[in-house]
Order: sequence, then C-alpha cells, then structure tokens
Amino acid sequence: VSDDHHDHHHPRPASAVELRAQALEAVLAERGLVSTDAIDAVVTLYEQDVGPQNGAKVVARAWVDHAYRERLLTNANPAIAELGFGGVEGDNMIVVANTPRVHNMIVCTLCSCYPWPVLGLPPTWYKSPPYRARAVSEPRSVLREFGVELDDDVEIRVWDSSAEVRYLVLPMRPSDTEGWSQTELEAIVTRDCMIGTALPTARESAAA
Amino acid sequence: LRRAYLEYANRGVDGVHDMGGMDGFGQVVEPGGEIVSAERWESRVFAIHMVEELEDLGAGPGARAVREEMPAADYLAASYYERWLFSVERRLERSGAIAPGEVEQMMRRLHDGEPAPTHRDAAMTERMLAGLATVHPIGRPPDTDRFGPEPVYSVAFASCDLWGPSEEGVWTVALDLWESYLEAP
Repeated sequence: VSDDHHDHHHPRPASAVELRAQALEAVLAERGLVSTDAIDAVVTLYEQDVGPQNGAKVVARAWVDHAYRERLLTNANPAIAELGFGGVEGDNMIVVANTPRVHNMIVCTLCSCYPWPVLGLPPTWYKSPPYRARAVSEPRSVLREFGVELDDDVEIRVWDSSAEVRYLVLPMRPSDTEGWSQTELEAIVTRDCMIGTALPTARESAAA
Repeated sequence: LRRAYLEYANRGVDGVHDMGGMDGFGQVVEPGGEIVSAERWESRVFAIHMVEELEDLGAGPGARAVREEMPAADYLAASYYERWLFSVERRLERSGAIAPGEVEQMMRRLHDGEPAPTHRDAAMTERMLAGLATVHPIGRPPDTDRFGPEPVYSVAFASCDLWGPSEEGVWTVALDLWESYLEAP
C-alpha cells in the first residue's frame, strides 16, 4: 500500500490478510449481518473477562475445600458454574487431577480445542505445530522446554481434546503454602499449570 | 489398539493438520509464543467467527473441517487466524450470506480510501454475550453432515503401542474419539 491518503489513516500499511479481514467485516456490516459493536464486545470479553484468572479461582477453591474438589472431579460443569464460569468451549468439562504418581497435560493435535471459560483463548504455542505434534509423542522433552522435570516413575497422561470434551488440569498444591488464603493461592496458579506444562510454586511475593 | 488408532488416522482426519507425532516442527517455546493474538485483525476474525456460529450465518461442514480443506502447503504457510479467516469466509459463501468476489471488491474499496462501513445492533451484542455464556452441549463430528449429537469416547493408548519404544519410557495418550470413528473388533 503506497497510497499516502491511506497511510494517513493507518500507522502502517495493512498486510494483504489484514485488509482481507477488514473487508470481510465491512461486507458483513454493510449487509447488516454483523454488528460492529457485537464484534467489539466479543473481542473485549475475551481480552478482559474470560481468562486463566477464572481457572485459577477454580483450582484454589479445590485446594482449600475438599468437598468442592470432589464435586469438581466428579462432575466438573456444575462445580465450575458454582463460581460463575461456563459457556462456549466449556460445554463438556472434565478436570483431571495431578498426583505424586500422575501428571496430566492437555493438547489438541488437530487444531486448538481449549477450555475457554476457565482459561480464555489459547496462547500461540498451544495452537502451533510443534506443540500439537510433540505433546503426544515426546511429552517429557516438551516439558523440559518449559523447565519441568518429572521423576521417571511419574506417569504422564496426555489428553488429546479434539472432539467435544474440554479438559482442565488440577495441579497439586505446593507443600509450602500452608495457611495461605484462597486469594494468595490463586496468584500462583498460572495458565500453564492448568494446561499441564508447568507446576505451581510458592513465591514469596504471592505470600506477602 | 494400534490398528484402532490407524483406523482413526485414516478416517477423514489424515492430513497435515493431523499433527500428532509429526517430526520437524522445532521448538515449542519460542519468542512470541505467549500471546493469544499479535494483531488487532486476528481478534476481530475470531469475533466474526463467533458471530457467524452463534447467529447461524454460515453453512456446510464445521469450521475445523473447512480449514482442513486447505491445501497442505497453504495450511502450513498460513498463520492460525488466517486459517480462521479462510473457514469463516467459506462458510459464509456456502450459506449465501456473501457472494464470491464480494470480499475482493470491498478490499479494493478500502484500499482506495473509502471508510469501512459499520453497523450497529445492540440486540445482536446482547445475544452474543448471552450465547457465549451459555452451555451448548450437543455436538457431532465437524466433518459430517449427520444431524444430532454423537457420543465421544476417551480411548487411552500406551505410547509404545502408538510410537514404539522411546527413551522417555511409556506414557498414556487419551484420544477423544467420536463413536463413528470407532470400529467393532
């Protein structure tokens, strides 16, 4: 795009794909099929309200409330809904718990299935070829890239969620977090802990 | 079990998109990998896809199956949201919501400096926010036109049955498989 007038409206020239995306939205708006404010609202929803902070609340609650943990592992959807979370791409949830002998990881080898209501939209690495290819065929090597080394006797279970079920990993609570409040615990539950590519650790700052 | 997995692999989902176990893609952890979408248009394509789905504007096979129609080289060359743009455009064409060539025509108008048309519809926004917060439990394989829900089974495989022996030892791969992907032994 070398048109000076056009550049005036854009900080940089639009790429071909960007222009195509803008044109599709414009066609749909012109026809009255898609409202511009609905697009804005959906973008804002997943940027601000739906993200791993939701899943962290679920995990922290399961860490402090044994009855809740049981409900969560038995029938995840209503337990997650108790905290106000649910919706598209979380229609059929299963929560899988890590134990000293079992470590769970989630992947979608076919595309990018991911539990949106509790984790938001997936990061780029989750939906890119290396993770989709290798999570099932060399999980320990993938975990090593994330800085996770598991003992040899820990069984890894990789959940390939390419149909209707969406998984969330319930990580183990770090042993040195006794007495922490639920809010303090939420702060150490990262997105990757709930995908299964990280382990939560007690941090001084979180406990302060 | 290996035979069952191969049946699955050969049943419509055999293509470059079926990436489990493929070699040569490199590192998982790379700069830029943490972000959800790098550019504004990507978030808007995601939102257009959601409106198309919840407002039932598209037609034909599901979005993922449409992405799998891309030639392998194009699929690999495209960024994630380029594939989404491809699938939402095809589904809108197949329902007749947009005509072939219409997007290209609008690209020329925008390129010539015409302001992009906008449309406001508060009721649609409300429907979208309500729809996204609602559970939609009925599903079926995206690559079929069969009507109605279909059961999904989580089928666990020992890694050695899928990939042979590994220096990583043995782990479990649990695949979610639609009932119609399974064969009676």
